[in-house]
Amino acid sequence: MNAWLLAALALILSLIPAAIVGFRGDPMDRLIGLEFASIITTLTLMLLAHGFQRIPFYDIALAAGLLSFGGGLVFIRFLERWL
Amino acid sequence: MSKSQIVIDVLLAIGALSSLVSSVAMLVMKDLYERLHYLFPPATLSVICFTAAVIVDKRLSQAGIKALLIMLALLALNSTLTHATARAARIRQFGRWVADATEVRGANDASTAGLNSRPLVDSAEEQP
Repeated sequence: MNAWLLAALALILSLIPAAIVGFRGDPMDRLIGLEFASIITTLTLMLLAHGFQRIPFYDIALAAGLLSFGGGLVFIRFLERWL
Repeated sequence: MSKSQIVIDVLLAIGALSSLVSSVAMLVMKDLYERLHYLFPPATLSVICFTAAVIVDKRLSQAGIKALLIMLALLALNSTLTHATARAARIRQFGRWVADATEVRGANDASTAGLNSRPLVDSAEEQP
């Protein structure tokens, strides 16, 4: 296991508090947990792509980062107006 | 162990530790607005450290350029998302985005200092 994979493992561990925040409390608190988890997921995918020497897999991290922004905005819009 | 490998390890450690600490801090904080602050360390410090580590390792190859793109996307989009989240939370809490005059100053303060736009937005009837 190289340093990249160790860093990815640390990031995966940091998903646990985000999951705890995401599973309890007000819907806005849960949304913050989701946003945090999406950032961590993007970074983890980047580190895994580098750690396994699969450079094309960087595209997955880039797509996850861009799509999580759109998904977050949709949740924000619904929570602001209707839910 | 080469110098570049040491730099890479340090950058990875800083990025991973900042994400770990901010995730625990987000769990500990009580208020939604306090929690929002802890979205920034992984989206700024961590991603900058990881991108720098990739560039030190691979220079500006395909991996380096893609890491730069990921960094730019996270830096640009996460601040927008955080602002939109705070705005939505405020609208859910108070029913409006514009600040009430009494939020800027006390209810008995008749001065208009600190109000850039139309003063007394919601409480015009309460003023003398």
